[in-house]
Amino acid sequence: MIKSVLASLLVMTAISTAQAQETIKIGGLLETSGPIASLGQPGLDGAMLAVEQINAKGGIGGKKLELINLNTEGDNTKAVTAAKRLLEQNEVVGLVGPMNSGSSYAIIDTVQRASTAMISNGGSRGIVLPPQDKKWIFLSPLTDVLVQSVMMADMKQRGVKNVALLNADSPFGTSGREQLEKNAASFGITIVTQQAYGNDDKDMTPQLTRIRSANPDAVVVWATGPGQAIAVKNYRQLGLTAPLYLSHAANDFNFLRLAGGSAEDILIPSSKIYVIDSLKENDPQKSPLSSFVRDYQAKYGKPPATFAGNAYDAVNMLAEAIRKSGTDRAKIRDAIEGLKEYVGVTAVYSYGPDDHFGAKADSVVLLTVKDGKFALAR
Amino acid sequence: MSDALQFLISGLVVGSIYGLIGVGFTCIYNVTGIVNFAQGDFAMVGAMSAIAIQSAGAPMWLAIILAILITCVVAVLIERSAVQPVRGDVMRGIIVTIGVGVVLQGVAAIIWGTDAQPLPAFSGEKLLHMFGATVMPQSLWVLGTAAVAMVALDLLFRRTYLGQMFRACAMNPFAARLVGMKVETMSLVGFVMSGALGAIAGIVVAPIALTQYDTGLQLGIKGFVACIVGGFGGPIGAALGGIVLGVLEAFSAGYVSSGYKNAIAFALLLGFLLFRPGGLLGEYERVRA
Repeated sequence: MIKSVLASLLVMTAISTAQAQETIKIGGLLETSGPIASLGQPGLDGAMLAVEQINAKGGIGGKKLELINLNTEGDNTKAVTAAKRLLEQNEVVGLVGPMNSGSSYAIIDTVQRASTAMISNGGSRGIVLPPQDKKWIFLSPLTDVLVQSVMMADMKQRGVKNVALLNADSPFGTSGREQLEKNAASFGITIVTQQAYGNDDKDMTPQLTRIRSANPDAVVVWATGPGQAIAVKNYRQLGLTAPLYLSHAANDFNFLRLAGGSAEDILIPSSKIYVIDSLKENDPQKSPLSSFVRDYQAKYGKPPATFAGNAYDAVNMLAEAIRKSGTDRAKIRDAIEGLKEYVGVTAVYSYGPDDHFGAKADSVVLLTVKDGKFALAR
Repeated sequence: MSDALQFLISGLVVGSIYGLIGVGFTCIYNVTGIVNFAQGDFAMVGAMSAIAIQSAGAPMWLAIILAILITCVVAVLIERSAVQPVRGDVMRGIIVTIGVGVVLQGVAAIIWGTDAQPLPAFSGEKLLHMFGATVMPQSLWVLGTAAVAMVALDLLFRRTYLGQMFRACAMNPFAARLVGMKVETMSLVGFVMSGALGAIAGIVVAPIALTQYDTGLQLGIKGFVACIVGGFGGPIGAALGGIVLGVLEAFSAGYVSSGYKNAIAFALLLGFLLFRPGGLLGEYERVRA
């Protein structure tokens, strides 16, 4: 009797292990609590939607895709622990990286040593630079250099020569400042004054007063979070009238809500996610974007934020690579690097041995705000 | 010249925000001797409640009154459940308030999410111009509220019987009890007042500064520095300390770099703690016997 029970138990465990092996496991490091939660939560929602859609179509080669997400809380140490757990215990074949650039930097070593590909959602370019040393790391969001090139091309068209810069004293703001200072000259643009503010500041009037005195042709605010809404409000309060450019971090519904009427007519280089209806019919992203927004709205009852699109793209590109090359980790990496003209919702991606950014400038459009809504500029 | 004036105005407004939080510190301190590190979080709870009630469709005045009541109830719950059990031990009381702050932030993140929230300005957003500088009408609300709170509390502590009972309880709870004062009730009243003041501060500031679950931490620290600079325990000192801090920050952000702003706050804190622990106005009629 006991023997037969034991035997059936053994059989059952054997079956359940077999079933567990039927799924293809990928790991997620998205932060669903902590300071980055407003990026990580929509990110996870987008990633889950991608997994659901893939499995509804029969998975990959008959196997279901399984996403195991560990909340990294925007904390570097927790990100490293979580990455180790996913790679060593869960034996995932690929990773969807954190939204937080800091956390992404922190786990590079761990991921590289495990020889597993990661598509990070961090916004900082350095995460994948240089690509020869960061063989296993890729990026899905638009980078600051890319969106700044679109922004400065627009400035050039408007005849803007002198620009004032106000950036947050955060990794995102500082990186944006460095890139802008480096590349402005090639667009014939001079930065006449540069000011910074702390991420928790409640009032940027002093910095903007200095900018007003410098009398620039245009002003750039490069920051994330509520600070940029306060800066835009202060900008209007001081009666500044020069064109105001923000970073792609401002293409966020909560920013619109916080900045209110002050946001009218600002300019934001952004992905196309909020202006689908204004896109040309022959735009390759139009159809995948509309179905993504429709499905996301149906599943979660709200329109997707940019970050949802980033992680959605990351999961889909991982899946595409697995579809092409099987579950061998090195082959998955090569397949991601070999993706060309992959049409995602954030961008059309083409990776290569020297390019782990993927996104190209034609994925970026310039948005403005009209009557409290995002619209294509001109 | 108009630049300097703009910096001054900016500093006065930010300074009175710090001052308002600082004034809230004095209520609990003058009754129990406890430094309430959750004071900034009281402001956050008040502001977030007002925003939630207002965006649910209630008129602004009702939202403000309800938010103040909610914060007072929260303060009462905290006093009864967390501070009373360690009564008589000021040090443990202080540590408890740090924990309370963390709990309040966590609960706020669960209820209201982690996004920042706006509150409409009380009297529109039409700018006032004076001598080449611009002022938001809401800034005048902040300045006015800080002035009223500071004077009213100072009168209360110094000129009324209730105020004297408060301070008696803080100086020597045992003796206060001997002469028939209900020390526990006084402590509760102190928390309610501090909750109400915190909520008012948070609500008046919300249209300018935006509020999210962790706003209170930063505000609390600045309010604490304001108290140290002005002299701990005195409402006028706290408001004055806040304004000194705010104006210094604004001028350094304008003329040097805002990167040094927090450094200035902490240098000021250290400087006063080391060389003038009584603050600008001197210690508020020594509380410790």
